[in-house]
Amino acid sequence: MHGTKLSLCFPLVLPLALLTTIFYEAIAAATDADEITVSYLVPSTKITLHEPVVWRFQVHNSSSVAIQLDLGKNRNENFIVSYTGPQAGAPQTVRLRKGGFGAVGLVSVAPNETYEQDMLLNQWVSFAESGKYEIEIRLLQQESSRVEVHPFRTTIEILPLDPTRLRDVCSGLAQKVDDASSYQKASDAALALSFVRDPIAVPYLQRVLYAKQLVEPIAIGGLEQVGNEEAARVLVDALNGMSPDVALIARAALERMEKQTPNPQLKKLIQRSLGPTTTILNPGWRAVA
Amino acid sequence: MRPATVSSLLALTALASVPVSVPYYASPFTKPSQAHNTQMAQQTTQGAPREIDFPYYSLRDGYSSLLQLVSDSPVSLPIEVTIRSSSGRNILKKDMNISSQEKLMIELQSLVASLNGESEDDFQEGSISVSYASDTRPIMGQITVTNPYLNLIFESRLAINDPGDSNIPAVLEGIWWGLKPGRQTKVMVANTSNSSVTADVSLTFRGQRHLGALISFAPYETKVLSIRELLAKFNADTEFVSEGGITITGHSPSPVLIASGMTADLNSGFSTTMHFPPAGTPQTSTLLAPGVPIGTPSAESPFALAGTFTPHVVVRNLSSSPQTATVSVEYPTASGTQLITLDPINLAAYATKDVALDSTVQDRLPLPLPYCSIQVKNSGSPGSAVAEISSVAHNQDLVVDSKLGDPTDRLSGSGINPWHLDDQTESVLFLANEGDAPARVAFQIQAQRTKPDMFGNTIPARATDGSLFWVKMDRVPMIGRTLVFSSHKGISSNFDCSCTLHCPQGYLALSVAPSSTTMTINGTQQFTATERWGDCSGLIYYYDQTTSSTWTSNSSACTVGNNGLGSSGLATGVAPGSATIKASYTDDVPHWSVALQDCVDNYIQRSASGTANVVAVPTNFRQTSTSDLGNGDVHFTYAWGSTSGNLADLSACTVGEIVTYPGGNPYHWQSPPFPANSTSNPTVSDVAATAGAGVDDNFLYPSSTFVRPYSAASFTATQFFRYKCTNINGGNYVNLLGPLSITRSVQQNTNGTWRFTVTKPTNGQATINALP
Repeated sequence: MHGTKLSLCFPLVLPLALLTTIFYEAIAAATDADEITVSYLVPSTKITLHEPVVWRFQVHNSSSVAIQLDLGKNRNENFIVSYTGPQAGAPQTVRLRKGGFGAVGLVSVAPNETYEQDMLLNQWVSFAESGKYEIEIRLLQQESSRVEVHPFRTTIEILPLDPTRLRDVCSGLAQKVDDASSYQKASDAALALSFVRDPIAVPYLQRVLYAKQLVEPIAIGGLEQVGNEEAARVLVDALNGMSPDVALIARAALERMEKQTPNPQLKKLIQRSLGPTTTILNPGWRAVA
Repeated sequence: MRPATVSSLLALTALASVPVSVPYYASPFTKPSQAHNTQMAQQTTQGAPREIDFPYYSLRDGYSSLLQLVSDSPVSLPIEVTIRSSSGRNILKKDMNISSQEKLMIELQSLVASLNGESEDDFQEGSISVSYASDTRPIMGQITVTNPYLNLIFESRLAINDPGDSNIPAVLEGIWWGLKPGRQTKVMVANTSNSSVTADVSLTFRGQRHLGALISFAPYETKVLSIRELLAKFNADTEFVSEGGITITGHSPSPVLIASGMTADLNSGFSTTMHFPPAGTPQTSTLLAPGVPIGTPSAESPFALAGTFTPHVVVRNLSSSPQTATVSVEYPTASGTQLITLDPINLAAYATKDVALDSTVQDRLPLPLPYCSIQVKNSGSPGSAVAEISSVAHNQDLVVDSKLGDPTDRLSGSGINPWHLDDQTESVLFLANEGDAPARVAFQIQAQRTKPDMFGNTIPARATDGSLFWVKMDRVPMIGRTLVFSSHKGISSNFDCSCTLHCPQGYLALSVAPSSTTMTINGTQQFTATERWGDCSGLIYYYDQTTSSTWTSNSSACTVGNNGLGSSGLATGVAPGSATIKASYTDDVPHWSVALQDCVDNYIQRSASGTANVVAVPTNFRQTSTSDLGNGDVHFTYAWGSTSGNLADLSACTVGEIVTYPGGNPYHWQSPPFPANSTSNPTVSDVAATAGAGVDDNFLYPSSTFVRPYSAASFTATQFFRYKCTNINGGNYVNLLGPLSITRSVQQNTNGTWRFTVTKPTNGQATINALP
């Protein structure tokens, strides 16, 4: 997600940028003679099931020379997340890896500047059920020996589903997309919304799909993941109502949904939308009057 | 059957020859007293909420739209005009008043601009609703959509949508015809409700109904459906399916979808309106259209010199049983009306047929004729067939649509209609008496200018605009319609609803087009200045003032040329930012001076402006490095710049790739020998363009394990790099680089071992040699 460079250090308790949640600084995870501070901040408020979980990565350079960080492709592939879900069991370790084109992961932090970026933890952890999650986040060792990186551990509790709250969260994210002054801001909010794997998100993803903020592929990805009939109808609508570029992506999403869903009604709906054409001959055609 | 041209009515010479008895003025039109008006005003302000909806307007691609509202109310009524954008998400509202007997002519381009909606592309088309309060339904109207440059015109008719009482049909049934190569047929469907609704859309052609995809409508959304595109989805050869029916069935608790349609030929000027009858349309087996031009009209015809016409009778069988349709042509002769009946048209179940009354029919008629009436009688139950009649000039430019009606209907098209006369425009009232006895008709004709002329005539001999009331006085089968057409412009309009006088004639607006545009740095945009004048018949006249205007830009974001300083109105982007591009010119509107007894010049300064938003776009996209990272991962880095020189100006842009694989979705790699991986097909990735750089990895993931037995195999994906910006190319992608072939192969070495290679034609390659 988005990274910014700030000329001043942030206070330890932050009002949050992405949601209305409050972050608190969990730990100053690494220091180099107190010159470079690497911080991880997680939400201080409770999170309910299917809400996006966002953490903030922060690096403050108090030294007199610039430092370089390699966060990996898309600025997230060099983070390794290990977690144990509510059912305990063996820890799962996840490192994101995405082929094809992506953003450069190298970040330069000038003296007395702070670099920070919000990261969507759902990319690593599905948070599919409520309960406590033990999380460890580790940034791969950096080439510069001046940045010493230690793992950060925390517990995140996911409360049971609260539809009203989830709607508010989705609405807030959709509004952020509408109001975004840049693609980066729009895509950050759209990405968070696309990870709400709940039918509640569908109308908000539809709104984002038509927001003209260039985030149509992200919204389509979210709808594909929700994967219900309502989401399919939104995608079908996009086949007719949106540009060929977007329709192509929507069609591809529908094709995958059709292959993966066990729901025969949904399969039929998608097949009917994608063709081949259904030709119904008389007299079996159902009455329309 | 007789036509009455407005000019003949004005001269009061033709009336005596009209076989119907014509009292010139009838008491039903007497205006109520002022005291009564006041009383009514108090009543109507407390009246029931009313709403009328129009399915479509367009300001796109050179189209303009004129909303004409007329009021039969004896008192002035406050109305609220709501313009709904095509997505339904944006609305503009305007409170107005419509006086008693007034005709409001609302030019929608100007209204949208005055409400600051012109910068929204969403308002280039959409739907309109008008709400008011009244115990009756005195307000009627029509939207006329015209493209004067292409000589196209079609009509968007109203639907009554009062709360709990509407005439919106549950099923919209329409006919299209004449869909030949080079033409397009579009159906505009609007959701009049604040709820989402889905609809089944089916096409009927070649005797079969084809049920298409379910279509979703957001609240108040307007969708434009292309018949040609719908046909393509049914694998129909669109070149050879020229006519058929469309059925739109909304799925909502009460009907909320309304529609209008048109077929147009952008080259020839051919345009015809597709109607979707409202609920409550009289169910009849006999339909009649009066005043149809056929062949080369005779010298006394109102269509004289307008061309040579071939009427088309298009009939659609809505039922599941075969039936026939019998077409009769009635024509006037010195000894009275004569009639020929054609062979019955066999209509299979759900069939649509376009029957051209060409030379084989015309040879049976005593041509030339001034006009004819066409009757269509179907053998099935009333309402089981619908029909449309349009007469097409041989040069295809002029199409005279003749609405079919039921002669036994109480109203039969009577009411208030506008008329307009000039050198190129004729207005005709066609009346057809289908009964055996003479019929009486009452007229009231008014001119827009109500002051007597110098000879004391209430209606000046040179009056050009006014209104015509007509109503039948006897219970006889009769039908009528008013036609206003301009053969030189290739356009005609039908009026058979209440329209009245007092319409403003003259200057409407000066507009600059485009009203808002987005340009790239060094990109150009031609602005044009067009003056619009309107007349009482709803026709709009356009005058290009581009070269006679002085053009200015208020910002260094772009420059604009004038004569002698670049081309007039041609703007060039210079730097990111916004500029108001203004056109100013002095209009000379001469007027008659009583004092001087001569025409004197009257100079009026006019100006209008548009907005140019100049934006930066990604440029100089290039590969900056390539490397083999091992394990079959070929890695590339790319960089790009901004046309403004500042990457921060690309905040509304992305740079990314699309990679397409040669198979299904997901694309499964051939395994063995490749790892059993699958890939979304296509894959699409975008990053923020402000980054100025990106990486591209082509690796083996999630599995890197090649599967035995090994064999020679390869597959090639195709990659494009591209950008998109919110306001460039409609937010669609623009290619930067490609196509590039990404080829993965397993091949055998001469020593019998196997190797894997991934290559791109830009010096990028990674190899695993030898495979384990």
